[in-house]
Amino acid sequence: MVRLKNRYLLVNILYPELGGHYLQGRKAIPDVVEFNQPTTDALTAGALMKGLKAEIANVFGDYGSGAVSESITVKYLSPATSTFILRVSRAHYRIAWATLSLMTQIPVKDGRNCVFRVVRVSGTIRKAEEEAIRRARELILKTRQQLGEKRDSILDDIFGSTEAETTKEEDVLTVDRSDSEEEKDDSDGDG
Amino acid sequence: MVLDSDTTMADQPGAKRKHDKHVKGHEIAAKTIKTPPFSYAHLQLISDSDNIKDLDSLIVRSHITAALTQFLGVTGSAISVDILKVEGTECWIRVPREDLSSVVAALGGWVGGKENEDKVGWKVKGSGNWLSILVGERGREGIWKE
Repeated sequence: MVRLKNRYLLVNILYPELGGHYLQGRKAIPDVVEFNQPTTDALTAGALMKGLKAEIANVFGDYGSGAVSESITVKYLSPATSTFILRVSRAHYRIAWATLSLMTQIPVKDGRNCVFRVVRVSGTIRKAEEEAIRRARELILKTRQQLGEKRDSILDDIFGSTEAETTKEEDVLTVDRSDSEEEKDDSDGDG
Repeated sequence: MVLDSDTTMADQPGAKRKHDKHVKGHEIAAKTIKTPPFSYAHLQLISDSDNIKDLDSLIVRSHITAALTQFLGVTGSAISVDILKVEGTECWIRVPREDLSSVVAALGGWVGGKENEDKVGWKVKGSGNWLSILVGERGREGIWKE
């Protein structure tokens, strides 16, 4: 059986229209957080697929629709982190990538203006997941850096907030999944 | 396409014999064009009905755009197609070389015409990188048909 090859695209949804929103204490939300703010819950995997297929038909016509329709799926979608992983066949993943670049708003009713940014293309979903984790961690560190100078004074302001831009004082504990876990099991012991 | 040109030393009046002795052979220059910038296609509009009006550039343009838009979407309608000549129900077009296969596929599969009118379609009589060969092949179909 010939193996069907796929590509997994890790995509971020960015909101570059900085609106100047403010936290309770009248301190500005860091730009990093506002760029990567959560997406409305109305965006489900089905809505995303429907919007994406309609846009592919518009931009690439019957050829594009036919080329990717069988293999295109949303493998992971998190509206809270505005991230999703898309699976496409290897031969035609650039059709999906170009279409994402040309979409300008969330494919739901009254969707907000946004930018779909493909940040990683990989042959396995595992590497895409690891990249998503790595980026989420970097985002937290960047946010803490931007708040860093005034961290003590605005701690009270942000402590009570329920939005995603909350940053807690305790350290972010992360455990790295070792890449060579399986190799250790298979390797021959020399002694 | 390979162009060969021989250049020999021209005979000048009162040419120095001494100089002629050093002319050993010919200078040969060869050039191969692997990727010509444009490709050409020869099309004919065919229809169910017997009386089909003669084409003009506008009709050709609108039919080609409709075919490309249906098959390739916005990116298809953006392919630059030059209409070189329109004659009767036939026309000659020029497209960038890398788009030739997409354009031929789009034109071949398109069916036009409104619901209560007769259907029309494009017949691709020839396509290729060199216009001169396409023109020369025009009489090819009539060889076996009297």
